[in-house]
Amino acid sequence: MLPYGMVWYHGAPADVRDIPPGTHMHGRFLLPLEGEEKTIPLREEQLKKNATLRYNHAILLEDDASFYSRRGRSWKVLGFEQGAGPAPRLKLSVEPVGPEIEGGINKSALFDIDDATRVWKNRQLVGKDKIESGQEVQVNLTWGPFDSLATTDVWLDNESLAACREIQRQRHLRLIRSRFLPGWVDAVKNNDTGGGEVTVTLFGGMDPVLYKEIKQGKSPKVCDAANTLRTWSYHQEYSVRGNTVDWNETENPPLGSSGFQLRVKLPQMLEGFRPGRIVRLKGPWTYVLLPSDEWLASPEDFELSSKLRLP
Amino acid sequence: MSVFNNIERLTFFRAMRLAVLFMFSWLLAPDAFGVKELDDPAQSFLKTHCVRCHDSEKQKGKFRLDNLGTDFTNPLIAEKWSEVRFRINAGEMPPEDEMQPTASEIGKVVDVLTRRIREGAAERLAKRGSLEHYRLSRQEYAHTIYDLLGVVYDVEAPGTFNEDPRIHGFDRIGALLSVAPSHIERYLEAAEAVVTQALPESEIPTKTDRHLAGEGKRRLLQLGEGWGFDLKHPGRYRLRIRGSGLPAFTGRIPRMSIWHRHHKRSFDGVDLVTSEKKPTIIELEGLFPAGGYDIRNHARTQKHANGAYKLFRNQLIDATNSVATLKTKHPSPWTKVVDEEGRPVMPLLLIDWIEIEGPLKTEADLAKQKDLMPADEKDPTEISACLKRFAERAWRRSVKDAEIERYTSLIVAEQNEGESFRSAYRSALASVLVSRSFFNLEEGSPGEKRARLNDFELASRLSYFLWSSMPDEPLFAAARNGELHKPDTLAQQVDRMIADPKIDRFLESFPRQWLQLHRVGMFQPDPKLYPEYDPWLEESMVEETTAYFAELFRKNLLLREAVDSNWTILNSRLAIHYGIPGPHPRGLTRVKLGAETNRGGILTQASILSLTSDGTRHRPVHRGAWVSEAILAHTPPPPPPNVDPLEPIVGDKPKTTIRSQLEAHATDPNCVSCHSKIDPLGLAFENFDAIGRWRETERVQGGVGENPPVNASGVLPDGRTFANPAEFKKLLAEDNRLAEAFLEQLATYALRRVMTIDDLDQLRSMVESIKADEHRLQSLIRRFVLSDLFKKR
Repeated sequence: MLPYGMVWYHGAPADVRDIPPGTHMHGRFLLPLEGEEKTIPLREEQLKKNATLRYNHAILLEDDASFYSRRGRSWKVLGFEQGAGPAPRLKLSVEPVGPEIEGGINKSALFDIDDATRVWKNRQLVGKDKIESGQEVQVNLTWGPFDSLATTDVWLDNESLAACREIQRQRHLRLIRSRFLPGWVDAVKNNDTGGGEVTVTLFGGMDPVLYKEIKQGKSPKVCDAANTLRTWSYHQEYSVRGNTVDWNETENPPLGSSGFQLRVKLPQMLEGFRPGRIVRLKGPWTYVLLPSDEWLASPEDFELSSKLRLP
Repeated sequence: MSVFNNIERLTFFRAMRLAVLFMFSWLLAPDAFGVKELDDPAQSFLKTHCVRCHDSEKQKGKFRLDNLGTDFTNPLIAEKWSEVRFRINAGEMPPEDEMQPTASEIGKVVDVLTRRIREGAAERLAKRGSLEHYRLSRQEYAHTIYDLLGVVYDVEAPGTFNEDPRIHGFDRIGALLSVAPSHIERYLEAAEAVVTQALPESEIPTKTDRHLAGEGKRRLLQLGEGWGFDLKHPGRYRLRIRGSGLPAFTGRIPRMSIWHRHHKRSFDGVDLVTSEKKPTIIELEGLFPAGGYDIRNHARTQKHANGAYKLFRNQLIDATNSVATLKTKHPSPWTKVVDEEGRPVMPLLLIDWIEIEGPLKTEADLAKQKDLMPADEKDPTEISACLKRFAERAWRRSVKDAEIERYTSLIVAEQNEGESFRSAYRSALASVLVSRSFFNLEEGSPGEKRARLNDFELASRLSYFLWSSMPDEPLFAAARNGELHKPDTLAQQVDRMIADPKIDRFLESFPRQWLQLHRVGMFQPDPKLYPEYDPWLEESMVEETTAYFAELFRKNLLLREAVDSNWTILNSRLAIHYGIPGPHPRGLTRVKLGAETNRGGILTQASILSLTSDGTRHRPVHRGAWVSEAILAHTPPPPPPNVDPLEPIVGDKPKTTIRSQLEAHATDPNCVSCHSKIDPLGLAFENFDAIGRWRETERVQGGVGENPPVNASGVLPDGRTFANPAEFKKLLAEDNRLAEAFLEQLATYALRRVMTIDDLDQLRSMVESIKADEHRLQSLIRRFVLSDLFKKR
């Protein structure tokens, strides 16, 4: 995951840790950052088979509910089908409703469905007997036997999906407000008494309210962060409060960027405030003491987290 | 019985007649009382607007003006007049339903009453009995102790002496320096400590201690950080420090300061620029009080008062490593010290070691203690003679044998109690230092009406004037010989004293008091509004002004250069502050100024411009009042009560200057009369912000729109106009009042009292007798010392 990579889950911004293992995701991938080519070592024979494996750093990850619903797509239930063969499974038969999507399933499909599938209706969990033909639904998928896809969730109405989306949105707000909003240092201007200015582009994929809070707060605290977005120890204490002196907005920013760039004047620059490095900005948010396993507390911690790519 | 009754009746009628006559005398001749004695504008004002209701008949508010006396030296009468002035100035009187005076009329009467009240106060303060005591200020006490015994006594340490009260900046005005029982207690403690230092039970050996940063290590100090050491004993020390000073990438030079942690000020320092690879050894020698010190990379500390975890660079680094390598690839708690190219982002100090040698005893210090103890402790004559020699120096006069007897008796009594001779003798010496003849300057003789100082008193006046301390032996000798008051001898002594290094005390102390430099930093500028302000800048500001005065004095320059010149004394910190392009001087250096710098003269120095501001903004009225008080020696009347403060500009109101707000504010005629005289003197400096930086526009908090341009033009009360600070300074430099006012301030400092009208007449004639182009600083001071006024009690 690139530091500025964006994750969506249940139609709302998410952190990687919010995604249950095994969730079927859609993604966009880039080449590794300079100097990080060895993060995911690739063998020559692999590359010969598939050159796109070089693109192994995710800049966007989305679950199915996010991927399709954000693009105005849903599934029309055609009915249930009982599968046959060596591993017979019940299948939910659906066909796409809405525009064709690049990288998506644009034809009728059969998804496994069983008692592990959560079926949502009226903001409640219901049995799969409530699924009726002709309903327009959203689904989240996981990997099934052979090359099939299995449903983890089926939302029978918008209200139910909206409820899950709001829970995820709030969960992510809580995460960022406690870990602070990350951004990329575009430029630095040191004055000669220890202070200076940093120009930061905030990472994208966050709920708009976070950007608004940073903008309206006018005096963010800034701490430096690793590429894994981990910060140093008590990140609030090892940060500097500044004043926002400039705020620019770019329309249609590239993936990873929020399009919001701000210039912050600081009384004291920290060691990590250098162009190309990552910082996290605290808005007017209540301080939360992070679990110590999320801190960096020594250069060794940094080395270890870099190798393991821990968030 | 009837005879008795007749006598009684007669007495009664006589009494009645006398009473009627007395009543009529009030009615018939009201002018025989106060109002008539006042100058005309005030007299006619009071007759027109006040006396009609406050006469013997109506007595409105049970207050009579018609018979209020005009002896302003009487504090009760002065207080009543002060009340009258207050009511008129506040617009309370005359009442609304009465005929109202004009603003100009109010201004005139307030001026007259203010002048008379001040003259009365000055006379009271200057009033002298047959014997007057002028207590030494605590700074003078410290200097006197050092010159008497070669001992450093820290008068600012906790539990020693309180700060002396000031009047218009002067902390040596006798009438204010009273002596309370608590003073005696502290004098006693001080005397015991001083004598113990001069005659210790065992000598404090001179030691040399070296503190190493560590084997193969250097201590890196970022701005605001320090490396501590302690001095257990006060005294003279030699500090040797090996280190490097690396300027910031902009050329800003590090200041290595010896910072006293308790006193919160530097006792020495140096602008240090040396290669990282070739450290230099700095040697500093001076008098240091005991306590904790830091070798400090002098600047405002960035540490939060409540403590924060950010690690400011105060760390040991490998001596082999260049600071350029102090960049980490990962997050860290450290603050940033080098930029992407490895250049320091701030001035840095690298200290290898500090060596502290002391306390040192110079030959001069040893000489002061040489004959302190009698050669033969068994010989009462020798003891008495030894004590007498000490008392004569300490009390700065000849001492009678009878005065010494109580001290010799004390020695005997203490010995009888089992004390050693040394201890008993120390008690006697301490008692001499607790005598009022020591901590006071005594002028006059009990029961004798004497107008002039005797030669000993003259010696003390002269030495406390120029050296802030006791006379030295040649001065005593001239006094003993009865020669000092002779013009030739006095002139010779003044020349000698001016050539002595101790003149530095005058060059430091007088401008600080005259120009009220104690107010610099009194209202610390808000770090959010003025992040550039730091303690090194604050020190530099004061140093510029005192060094500027010293240069005027040493080169005997014209007084007009005090307010208008094309040079100043700068260090690198001030050069940055003034926006003067580099390379910048290391240490204080005389610098020629072009017109584009908008500087030159005391009035446009950052010290003055900041002392007349508060922590958030400049204050033009305060600046005007300061110019009036310090430069023209005229204290404006106090403001009326309950003046509404300037409202902050909020919401969608357009940004506007303080000047515009003041002008809108001062529509009240009661305000206009005074402000028209004070404000132009301050508005002339509108081009300077609250910390003395030049500006073309005024930064306004709140409101909408652009920051408005400043307007520094004005009209003086006499009609002369100016367009900017430079023109104003020229007008002031040409003003005859400059020399008169300077001499008045000098005389207040030297004679330790407020000047009376008689004194001012003498000073005025002194100034008039010298051509304006000869109003040179040293010449004026010499002339003043040789004047009749200086020799008068």
